[in-house]
Amino acid sequence: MVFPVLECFHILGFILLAGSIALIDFRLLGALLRDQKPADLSVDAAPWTLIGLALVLTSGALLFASDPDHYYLNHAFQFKMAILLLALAFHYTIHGRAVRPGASPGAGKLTACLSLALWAGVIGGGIFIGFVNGPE
Amino acid sequence: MTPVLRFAQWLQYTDWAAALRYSATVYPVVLTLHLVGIAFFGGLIVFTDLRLLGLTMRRLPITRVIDSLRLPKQIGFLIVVACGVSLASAKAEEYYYNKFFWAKMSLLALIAVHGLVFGRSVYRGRHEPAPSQAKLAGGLSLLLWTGVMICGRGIGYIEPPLEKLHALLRLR
Repeated sequence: MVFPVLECFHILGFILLAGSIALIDFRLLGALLRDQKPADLSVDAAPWTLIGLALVLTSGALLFASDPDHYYLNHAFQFKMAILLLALAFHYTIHGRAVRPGASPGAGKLTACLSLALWAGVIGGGIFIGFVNGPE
Repeated sequence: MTPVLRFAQWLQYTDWAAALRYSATVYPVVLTLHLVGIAFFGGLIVFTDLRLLGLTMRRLPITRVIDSLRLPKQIGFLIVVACGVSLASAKAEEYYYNKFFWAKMSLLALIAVHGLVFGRSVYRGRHEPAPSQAKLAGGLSLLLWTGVMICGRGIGYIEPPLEKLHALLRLR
């Protein structure tokens, strides 16, 4: 009963985390709120990104703790952790720079695509944990 | 046998559904697309609701946020539904016996009703909605979508009644 409840918090968390970042990415791609500066939108989104991050890390750590051996040997899990670190580093460095006023729109679009791809990779890694080499 | 069960059996034997059911790679790929869509585009729903609740983007009018996010949300909804229908087709007969599946479908129907009920006052009004109406709509929307998410995750936890199924389950 605890595990599925934690999973729901994990899903809620990654919707907030990836969703708040996707909002900025869609703006960088010109798909919504075009009259808003990406910098302003990213200020709006930032607290929800952090709430999402806190939720996924807390629920994720507890899910991991339920059966550590099952996870750290799992290739999808290892992939997910690597992409997660990359996605977070990307978000708080390059992505942050791409939304600043005066940044080139072309670079913004490329950054948005990379960002969406990275977060999709994290989610895909999570899904595949249940589908690859489970040791049990 | 009910017509719905007959339809479920027909559906799961269509080429696409059967191929998806027995594929060790395509099934999780479609499931990934379903969840990536939920994260990216469900995120837009969450932000619409948060704006309705007055918790973000307060300098922007509600109508501006709703109108601007509508098309991306609609495109996202189509992607998520296309993946969802595929996933459900692959296990149609199993899902016929799944209480969480039917709860999820009922909540989605309620969300359609929600859209109609608040259509004029909030979602498709020409004027900025009254704050109380906006907050009620945003709060209800968040609750309903959270329910859909919980039921969606719950589907995977129900053991199918093996003696009643006609299609072979995937081996793993």
